[in-house]
Amino acid sequence: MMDSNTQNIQNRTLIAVSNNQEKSSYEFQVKNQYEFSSKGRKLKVEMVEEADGIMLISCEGVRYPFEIVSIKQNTYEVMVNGVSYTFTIETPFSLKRRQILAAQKPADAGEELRAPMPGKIVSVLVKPGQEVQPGTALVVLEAMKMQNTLSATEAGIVGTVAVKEGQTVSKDDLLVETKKPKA
Amino acid sequence: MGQAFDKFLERQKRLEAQYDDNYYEKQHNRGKLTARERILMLFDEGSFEELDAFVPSAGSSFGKTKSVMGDGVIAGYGTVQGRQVFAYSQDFNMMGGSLGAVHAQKIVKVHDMALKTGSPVVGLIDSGGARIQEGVSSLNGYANIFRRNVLASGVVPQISAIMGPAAGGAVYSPAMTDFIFMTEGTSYMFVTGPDVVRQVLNEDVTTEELGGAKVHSTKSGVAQFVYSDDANLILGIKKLLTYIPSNNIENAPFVPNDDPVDRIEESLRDIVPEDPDKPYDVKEVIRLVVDKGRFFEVAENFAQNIVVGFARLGGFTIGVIANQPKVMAGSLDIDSSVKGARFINFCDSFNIPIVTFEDVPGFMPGSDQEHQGIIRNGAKLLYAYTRATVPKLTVILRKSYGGAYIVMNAKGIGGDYSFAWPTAEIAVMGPDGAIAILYKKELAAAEDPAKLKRELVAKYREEVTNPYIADEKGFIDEVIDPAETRNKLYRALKSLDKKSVSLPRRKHGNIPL
Repeated sequence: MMDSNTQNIQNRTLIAVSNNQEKSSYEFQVKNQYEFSSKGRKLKVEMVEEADGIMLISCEGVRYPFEIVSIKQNTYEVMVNGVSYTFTIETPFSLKRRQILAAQKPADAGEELRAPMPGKIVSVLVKPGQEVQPGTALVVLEAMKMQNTLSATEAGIVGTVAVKEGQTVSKDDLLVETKKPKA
Repeated sequence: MGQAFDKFLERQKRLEAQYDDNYYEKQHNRGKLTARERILMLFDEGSFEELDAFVPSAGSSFGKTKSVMGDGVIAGYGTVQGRQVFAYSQDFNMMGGSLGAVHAQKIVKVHDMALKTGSPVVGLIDSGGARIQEGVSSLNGYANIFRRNVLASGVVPQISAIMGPAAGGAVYSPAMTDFIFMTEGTSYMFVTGPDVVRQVLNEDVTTEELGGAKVHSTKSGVAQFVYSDDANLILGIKKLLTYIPSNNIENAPFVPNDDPVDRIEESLRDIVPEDPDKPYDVKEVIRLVVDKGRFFEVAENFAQNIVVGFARLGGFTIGVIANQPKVMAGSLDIDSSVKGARFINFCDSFNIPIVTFEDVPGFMPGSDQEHQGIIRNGAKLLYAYTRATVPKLTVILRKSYGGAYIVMNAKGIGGDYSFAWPTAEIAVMGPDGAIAILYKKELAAAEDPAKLKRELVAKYREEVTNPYIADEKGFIDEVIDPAETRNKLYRALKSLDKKSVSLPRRKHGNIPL
């Protein structure tokens, strides 16, 4: 897992920030690759790969099956015991940066899904008021003889659904509008 | 040591005093790292050698200028993972990082040295633009930099990172380099800022909407990489550098790994859906073929109907280009053609073999695309593929129709090896279109046209849209078991190790622009 890209993280404080709705965070200190501490509690953690390729993470002697689903910059998606967790690893500085940027950013208006090309709406998969996550399929558009599933890129609540099944749309026609959930 | 040395030390001290606590704090409060922190982070620890640290600013012809040592840019060289790189980092804390004559000279020097020594150039940009007080001298500074960008183009890799503002003429230096990185939320690029846009056009637009990282990575295609903050961005630059050579006469670094080149990947047999109208994710195919599933995608949020990026095969860097059936059916439109062409040009300039995964129903039809110039823009992709002399391999996964078959690296335009999966459909056009033209009269006269059409389409599929006709004519070298794709590509690549092509002498070709 150690990429050429991995920063030297020894003897540093890092914060894991959950990307789920609740935005919980967990601060921990890294001593080296195997030793961590959090709130004064020392933790010994080790990754083990079994002969059949299954990864196990051993924490204080207890082993959990575990898989890294994706790593994108400092965003990690891991599966532990069959439950998926998405979080970012921040340094105290990058966390401060996030807060500065969040304070500057005007309240996000939400997202407008527009037709990327002319085609026919095969199905509409969401209703107004429905909660969506990044990646939730919104509509299926048939174009170039291919069914294209168009998905949300941000979390939100569906506002207007501007199209019906069977309707033909032109490029850039509004399909679905989502609003930011109220904080 | 005597007085001379004391004077030397005193000068060093004055420079250090310039970087006091306040210097760091100002930039940190903006959520950004300082120019100094950035450049030190880029280079291997202790390897950075600064050039021209003490130069004072040139005199101003108008208004007030305060002179700082280094004139608002930190420039020099060092090693990145052991390889020599030249870099400069504009300092927003020193006169807003504005570009004066001396500032420009330092950047020019870095470029000249990089060109002389065959080393990549990295520019970390955070600048308010031309220094108004220095007038035309600062414009001349930009002109000199632009000229170096063009001279170095295709000779040494040039990487620009926009880590703050880049406005006006300043955007054209990055625009002429090979890759542009941007930080989310703290960088922007535009030719004219929101204030002028408002005055001239009465258009109300924020800085972020006009030229933020999101806009440039999704809509305009100006930036290829977006990172969440300065530290991640610099790691991204280092990662990119591992895939590319230092100049146009070297090869990319060989990075051995434990992924066997003859790995059989059975899951590739089931990845293409039976139904030709069903999409799938071509990135899955790429990951299953390349070393350890590592694919470093370039411009992943722009023109997503084509996927381009770097990976390795048996430790050798390859440039991957793939149609993405998941987005717009993988058809080629203006943006995807230009994105593909530019990536091919980079690979060809820097000796990186090109591997193409093809599943393309054709060029995007419609008046929108035709009027925007799909002809001249599609021609860029065709030109780039044809001109490239690096090893060029193709695997046809599924659709390969019409002009798009030719454009996507057909053997006729110089592709070295073409492989096809058994699911490949190679023809002048898809079954529906072909039948409508070939049997127009019969269909019009038929009692049940729909039934006749279905039969004819099935017949066409059976007899025409398969890889075996092309295989028997030699347009495809081999129809392969998808599970063996990795090994077939690796062997083909090895056989092209010493590929050489001789071309007619010319100043340069006239690529359609």
